[in-house]
Amino acid sequence: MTFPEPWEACHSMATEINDHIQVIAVFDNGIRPAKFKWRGRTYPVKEITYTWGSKDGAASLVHFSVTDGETLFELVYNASSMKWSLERTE
Amino acid sequence: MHLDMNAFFASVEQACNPTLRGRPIAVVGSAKRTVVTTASYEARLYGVKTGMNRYEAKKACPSLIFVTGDNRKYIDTSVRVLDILKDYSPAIEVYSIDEAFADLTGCSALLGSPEEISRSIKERIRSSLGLTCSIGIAPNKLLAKLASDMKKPDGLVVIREEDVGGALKDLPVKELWGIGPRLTSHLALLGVRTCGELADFPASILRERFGIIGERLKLMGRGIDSSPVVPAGEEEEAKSVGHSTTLPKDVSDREEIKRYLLKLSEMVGNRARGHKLKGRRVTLTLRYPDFYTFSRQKSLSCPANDTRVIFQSAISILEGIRLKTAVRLLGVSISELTKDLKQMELFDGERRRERLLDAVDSINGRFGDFTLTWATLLEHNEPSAGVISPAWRPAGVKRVNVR
Repeated sequence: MTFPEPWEACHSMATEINDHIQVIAVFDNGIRPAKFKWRGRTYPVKEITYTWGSKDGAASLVHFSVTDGETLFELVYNASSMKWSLERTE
Repeated sequence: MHLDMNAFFASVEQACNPTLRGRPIAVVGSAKRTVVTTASYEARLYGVKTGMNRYEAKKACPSLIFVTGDNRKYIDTSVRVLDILKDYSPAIEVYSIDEAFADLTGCSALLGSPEEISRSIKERIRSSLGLTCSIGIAPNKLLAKLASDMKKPDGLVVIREEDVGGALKDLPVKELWGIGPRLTSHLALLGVRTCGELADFPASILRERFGIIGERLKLMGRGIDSSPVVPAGEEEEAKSVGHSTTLPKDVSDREEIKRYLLKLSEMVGNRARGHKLKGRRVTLTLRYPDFYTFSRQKSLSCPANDTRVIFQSAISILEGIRLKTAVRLLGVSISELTKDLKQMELFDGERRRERLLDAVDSINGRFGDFTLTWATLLEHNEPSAGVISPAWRPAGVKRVNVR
């Protein structure tokens, strides 16, 4: 039997997802996701807590940390492929 | 002006995740063995410090929450902070990912006093990013950095020319930027503990004891610093290009070590080729589990940035080392850099090799690092423990995109 390391019990629990998702977003002076559909369920975006950009090769990615009021999600918009993905949940 | 983002990585994570706000958190790398890179102010109250391993940090603060850092977030945020600063001064020097100097000389007529400019910068950082910073304003960089350290978090401290003597008189020398623990101990042996004592100490003895920096130490004690703010793009050319990684577990198997060296050599070669640099010297760095760290070097007959040449040199260095224990960290770098002037290679084989490297770099540039990689690495492509180096800069060869 193995016991968890002392830090494991208190690690912020992010789960990697990396699923393509459908998003309703407002494109007006930037991009703002309003709601998204993941695994058949629709989640409202109640708050965008943080945004940041990154590159994956030549593709520009825009990351959104959003909450539906209960769970924190990281949504990613790939500006080259114009596709959205759900990178992780907390 | 000196700007220091407060508990930068931890503050970004708290801004991202509302459930972490007001709670003791520590940002750690993605690998289990990496150390605390930043602790939130709530965690610092319990004594959690940068560099602690997870066990030590947890012992200091049982309710500590570990958050795996995402360097892309911090790099982008740093660039956005710098963009704000650039609206106020053309002379911005990036000191690290969370610190910068700005020369506000001549900006007042248009933008207001340095205090007004600083308040405006703080407000824009707060409203657009949800983060706080500490700003120090002073006649030079040494004093501006001292001022920003005086009030954290969310401070704004001004040291005016006429207040310098009073501010420094009883200040411990270790508070000055550039005076570390070893220099502090050496100065203490001379009976110098405060900046006032340093300013009054005979320059001849400081010169005799510390050589060329002796004179500068005395000036520092008086708060004198003539170093200019060096704007981005005008910094010294990079002296080396390197990558290192803390291994997921200590490794003694040489074949496994070689796989890591190949990956590091590819990262070094790719970055050097991207910036048209070649190195005449290859350095291999190793760290044992007890943190004893050492480097060995090898000179090349002609400058190179080919992954295979860098890797073979690193291997040749490794073969000359009798490892005493397993290895905890590996690093590869090239130095004695020259600009790759793309002189036509004489032999067809070398030309084909250059075209191959160009093609690989171009594909990886478009589709992401290691999309096209060495077969040796295919089954061992674990993510490295990416750490943002203190030498990180927002542009040029020192911009390293680490996840």
